[in-house]
Amino acid sequence: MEKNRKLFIIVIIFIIAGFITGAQFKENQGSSDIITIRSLYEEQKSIQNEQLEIERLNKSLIELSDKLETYYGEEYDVDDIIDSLRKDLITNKILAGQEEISGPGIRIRMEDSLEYAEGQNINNYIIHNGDILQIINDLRGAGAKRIAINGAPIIWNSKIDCNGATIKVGREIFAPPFIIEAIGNPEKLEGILMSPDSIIHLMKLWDIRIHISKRSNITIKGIDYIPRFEYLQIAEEGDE
Amino acid sequence: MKKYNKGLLEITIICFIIGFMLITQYRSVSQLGGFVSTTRAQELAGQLNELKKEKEGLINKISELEREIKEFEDQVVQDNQIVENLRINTQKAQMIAGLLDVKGPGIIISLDYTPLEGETGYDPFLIYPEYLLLLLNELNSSGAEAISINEQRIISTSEIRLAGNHIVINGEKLSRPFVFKVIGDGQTLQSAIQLRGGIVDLLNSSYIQVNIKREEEIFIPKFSGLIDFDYIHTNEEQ
Repeated sequence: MEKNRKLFIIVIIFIIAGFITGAQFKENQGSSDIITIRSLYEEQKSIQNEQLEIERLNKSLIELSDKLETYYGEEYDVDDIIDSLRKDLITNKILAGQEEISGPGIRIRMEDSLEYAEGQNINNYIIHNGDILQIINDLRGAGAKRIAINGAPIIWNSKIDCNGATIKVGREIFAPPFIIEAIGNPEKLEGILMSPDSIIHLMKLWDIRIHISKRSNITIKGIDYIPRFEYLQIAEEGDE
Repeated sequence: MKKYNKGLLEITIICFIIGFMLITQYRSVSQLGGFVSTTRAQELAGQLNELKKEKEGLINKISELEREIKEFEDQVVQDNQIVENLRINTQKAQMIAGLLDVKGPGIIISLDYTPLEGETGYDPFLIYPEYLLLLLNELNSSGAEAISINEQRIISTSEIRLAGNHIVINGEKLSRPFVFKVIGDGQTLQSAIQLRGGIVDLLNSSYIQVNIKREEEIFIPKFSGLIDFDYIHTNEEQ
């Protein structure tokens, strides 16, 4: 009788404990938008970003109104206007990837694995266009200003295709070793590649030889072709 | 007496174990970030909204000033060949860079996922964010001339990144459905992605519904974010 009672108490305690942990677990899983310190931190980060952008906007606002003032105020010179238009052109050419630029960044050298374990899929030991796509995407996420593969600059519509043993970048064909260069904040660029969810981690598991080095100065040339647009037109105001 | 003590010992041990379990749980929850008051979160959200409004206002002011400057320049240098050439070249560069609103024929691809009834947790876009990247690359291979995803223009710095429960493109948080607007040869674009064993099949195999529409005229907005020139030098500066 005594034994039964003890057993009863223990069973009840377990049931309660089970309920508590169960409820906790369910609560954690159910609501994905639960407010955690991490989400607050992210919110704070985006606030900081916005503040930074506002600062920048204010700066360009001042620049623009200064420009307008000089136009209205003094005796303007046609040459001044041409000068400012020329500057505009270079800025836009940089953004279009048509101008050579240089700056600090990182360099990634990749070569297919030398290892091969019997019975394994050989595909895992070689570098694919998808891997390179993801690395480029990671680098963009870390704020890369311009990226090049084996010296060929990548712009937004550069295709990176599988081409048998080689990789086709735009019109050019490259064989390993692949060298990816990116201009931007070297710490940030390296950081994103070292993070656990980076594809680099997976590639290293297959002994693909990857060497990442920070560089104080990388030069990437501009695209050496002019993209042709057959279908694209500039939208006028009110076209939306 | 002895019997009584023995029972107490067992219960004590059980209580220890339960206590230990609870603490471990609590700790793992706080490792995830812990719970915080909702007021603080609302405060931050409010602040963010205000900042966004402020930013929008500034952007409007800037584009107004830009227009005014442009008008002025137009007046001053009418019939000047150099100016005309500079203008045209600038426009071409902006077109490549994705800094102009554009239109043209092409296709609109909508990707969506309908969860089964009562199902939670599975979202193919969060499990395979790289599929969006592959689709983008496929479209580029088939001659896309301009692309936007949920109105975010794809430019040479655009990333497709998974962040929590969202996909981030151009720094903006997006979630499904994902709508790709693509200008180019509609026929080529459509057949390229619908190739057997191609990207659409891959998407379908993860239960993503793909809807493709050919359009005679699609409007794609320009890149609306800010571009800074940190870390960049041109050769002229050096």
